[in-house]
Amino acid sequence: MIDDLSLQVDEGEFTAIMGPSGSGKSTLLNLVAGLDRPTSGTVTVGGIALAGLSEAELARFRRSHIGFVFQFFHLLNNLNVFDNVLIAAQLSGAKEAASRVRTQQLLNELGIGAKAREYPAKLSGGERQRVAIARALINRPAVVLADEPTGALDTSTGEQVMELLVALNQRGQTILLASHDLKLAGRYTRRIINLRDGKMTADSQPLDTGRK
Amino acid sequence: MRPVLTKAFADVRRHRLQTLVVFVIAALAITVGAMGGTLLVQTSSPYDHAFAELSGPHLVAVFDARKVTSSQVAATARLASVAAAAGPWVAAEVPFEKGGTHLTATASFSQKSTLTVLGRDDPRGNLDRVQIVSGRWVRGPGEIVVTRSFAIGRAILVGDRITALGTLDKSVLTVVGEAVDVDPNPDRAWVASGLVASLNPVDAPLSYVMAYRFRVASSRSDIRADLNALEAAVPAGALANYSSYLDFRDSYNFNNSLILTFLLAFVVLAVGAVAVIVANVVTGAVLASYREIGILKAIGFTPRQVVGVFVIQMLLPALAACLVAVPLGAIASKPLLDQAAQALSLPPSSPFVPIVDVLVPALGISVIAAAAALPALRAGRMNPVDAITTGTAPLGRYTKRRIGRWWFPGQLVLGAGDAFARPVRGGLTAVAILVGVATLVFANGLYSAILKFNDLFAQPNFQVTVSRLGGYSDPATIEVLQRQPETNLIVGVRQFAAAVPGQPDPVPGTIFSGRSEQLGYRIAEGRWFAKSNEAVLGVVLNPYHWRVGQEVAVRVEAENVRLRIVGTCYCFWTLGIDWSTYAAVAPNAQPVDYLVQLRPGTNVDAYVTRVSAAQPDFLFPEAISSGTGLNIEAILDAMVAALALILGAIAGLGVFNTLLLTTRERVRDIAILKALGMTPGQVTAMVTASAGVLGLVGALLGIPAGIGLYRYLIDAMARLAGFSISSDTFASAIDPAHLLLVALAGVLVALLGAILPARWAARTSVVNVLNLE
Repeated sequence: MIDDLSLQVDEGEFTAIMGPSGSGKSTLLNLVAGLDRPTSGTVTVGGIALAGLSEAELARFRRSHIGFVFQFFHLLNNLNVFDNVLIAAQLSGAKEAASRVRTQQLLNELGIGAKAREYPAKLSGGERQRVAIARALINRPAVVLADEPTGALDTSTGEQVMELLVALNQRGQTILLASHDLKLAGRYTRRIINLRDGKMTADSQPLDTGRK
Repeated sequence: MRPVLTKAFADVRRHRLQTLVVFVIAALAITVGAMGGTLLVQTSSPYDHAFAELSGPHLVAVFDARKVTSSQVAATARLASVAAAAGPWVAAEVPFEKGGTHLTATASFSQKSTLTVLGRDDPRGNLDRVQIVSGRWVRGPGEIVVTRSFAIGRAILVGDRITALGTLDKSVLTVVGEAVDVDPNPDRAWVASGLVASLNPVDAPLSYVMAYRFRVASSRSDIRADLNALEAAVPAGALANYSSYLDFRDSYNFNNSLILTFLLAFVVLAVGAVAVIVANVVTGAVLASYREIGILKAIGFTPRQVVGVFVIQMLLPALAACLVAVPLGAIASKPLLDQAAQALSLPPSSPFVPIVDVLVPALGISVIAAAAALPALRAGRMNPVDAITTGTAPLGRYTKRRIGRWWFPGQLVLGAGDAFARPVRGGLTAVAILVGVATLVFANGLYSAILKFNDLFAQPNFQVTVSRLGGYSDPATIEVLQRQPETNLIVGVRQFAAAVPGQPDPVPGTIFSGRSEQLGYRIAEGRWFAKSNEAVLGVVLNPYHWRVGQEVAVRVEAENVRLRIVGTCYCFWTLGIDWSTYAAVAPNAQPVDYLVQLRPGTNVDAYVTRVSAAQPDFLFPEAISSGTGLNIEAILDAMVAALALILGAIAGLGVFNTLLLTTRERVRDIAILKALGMTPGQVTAMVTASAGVLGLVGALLGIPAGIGLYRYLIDAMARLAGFSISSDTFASAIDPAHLLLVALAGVLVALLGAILPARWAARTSVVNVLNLE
């Protein structure tokens, strides 16, 4: 749960939301994505106030403004890699041909272009997370929300995923990352917000970004 | 056993919706099975049941009282061939009029009848019992008991009064009871034995009626031999008429076979649909519980105990359903049993048949247990870790699909693909819809065929029949009718029987006098007879399979006659000949009934009233109602409506269950799609599209299946009844527009079954399902 939190994240920021389990990290991301509604207060993303939007309007907002990367990837097992990414574009109503081109481009950029026809069951954890990132980016969202994106990965693979996110941020993508790993957050992000029991306890720059 | 029961009961409480679905489906299945089983058992040989219950006679003989005495008739009971006898009862053909006064001015077609009145003081006895179904038996003068069929047909109630015509004093009798026995002729009644002579019309002969059970009477040849012995035991010509139980049984079986054929088809269809759905429900529920099965095994449940959990979980609602469904099925069958009994003029049968009430639920429970055990066995053998991590049964290879270029909105394509993601489940659901659609196609075809049947056998072009009674002559009758200015055509008719050499049964026929070709009987093949020794066959009953163009040798009034079959017609009599053919062997014979064609615009009731008033005691005019009175329509209507509703409910529930399971399995995917931006409306459309595909597949396959079933059963019915017409005659009864409507109905039922699962899916909580907390 979140308790009396006021927060502003600017365009192009790479912000980590830190805290122990149950501190409200995922809840915050859910509020930003419109998956949850605050009992009081407002959430505005890219100038759009989410309060008062209907379920359907929130869904439309989400498909065009938010890219979500989940800890457990949450790919559609019945679709291959290509279609898992494409489906997000089709939901937003983008033109088919252009969507297909962009899908393959993203997969290539993320290093999994050759796996386009494979199904998720055949991919490693890191490869699945790359697919999830591609899906999150296909509609050029205002914000990428990553909820413990390395939580289900080994250290090495996790670092690879984080470097992908850093590269995206360097190109201007706003990223909000939820994590309990201080070392990871300190290394890759520009801003760290600490939560405890739903309240913000700190909002600071990391001592060591570890970034170039 | 305890842990198995603990888990099973807990699952029943937790999966309330699934439990309810299994309960409802099992209840429907067992109700339909109990109803159908009861109807099948109780109507499969109705005449035999009634024959046994009422100690029916093998033969009822009518003796002319002018040629034989009562003692001579009674003595025939001591013949060596006779095992038991009842009677003799004095009998007379008595004209009656409804009402307590002789109202010549108000006689309408339904108010005058000729009844065979028997004098009988006791309806019981060792043979030919009569069963009172309303009121009581006669106790003395002034009372009469009529058959139930007569009472219903003439709208007569116990307590009504009827007037005996034909004698000067016009006795008024009170109807004190309605009765049934094994004789299908409705126009009979009973009075106190001493009353018959006083009711008998002037100059009309009395009869003695005797009922017999013979030592050997299983075939028509046996009956013939028994008859010969009877004839030899009385003076020549004394035996005036007879009817054998074999004729009655054939008559009952004719009507009954129609009912039975369709009933059997409907029950099989209904049970088939239900079996498919039950298998689908329980199989799906088990398949969706693989993770739980894995956990059970991990904590120590043996495979057999795992199977036990699921079987008991399914059996509990099924057993509860039996308690409700068995009495419900019996109660539901009662109106149909009563209707069938009424249509067959038999006493009503009991709706409770022990063997059905035990076997049907046992069968239902077995099907459910097998449907639960088989997939549970498979799951029980799985590695616990695989079962847990898989979570649900693995999908088939056909689930891997590409989105491809979407011609329809993406959510519809996704939903359509989900329809057969589990081929067995989707297939079973589509089959249930197929059965429902096929049944509706068949029922619609059947109803249209009945309408066409009635059209083919529609009343020819005469509006009034007039019966002549007693000594009133033919010329006098003609004169009365010709005096009426509205009379356009008069055709005299008389029934006869043509014995066929080498065959045990005579062929019944009708003799026509006058310009009978103008009556307008519908010709099926050939033409109407135009001269002597030509004959027309009715298409309904052609026991010796005569053909147009054939010459047949028969014996009429003990004389040899050669007939040439020149045509067939949609008529209910077997053989029609011209009066000139009959006059050659019976020159003094006269018509008994007259078919009267009126001028256009004539008020038929007024005409009937006038003719009745002209000769109230000996002429009985009756206006003809349209249609052939195929009285099984009402029974079939009721059956079709009931089963169509049940099958529709079953198909809808089947789709509901399939989509419920599918959306439960797909909840994670649905949550992901919602997280990606699929609106609730799009989720609803996706789920509904699955149902639409299932409905469409079921409907498209159900239509040809229904047409095939219709043709097969119509032909089977025709064969059973000895008809020489087939489904080709009724092929045009199937209207393509109706087929389209039925197909749409199948899709609609599927869509209705999808409403709730689609709404629930649309409300999926992304946060909860994806554990985003």
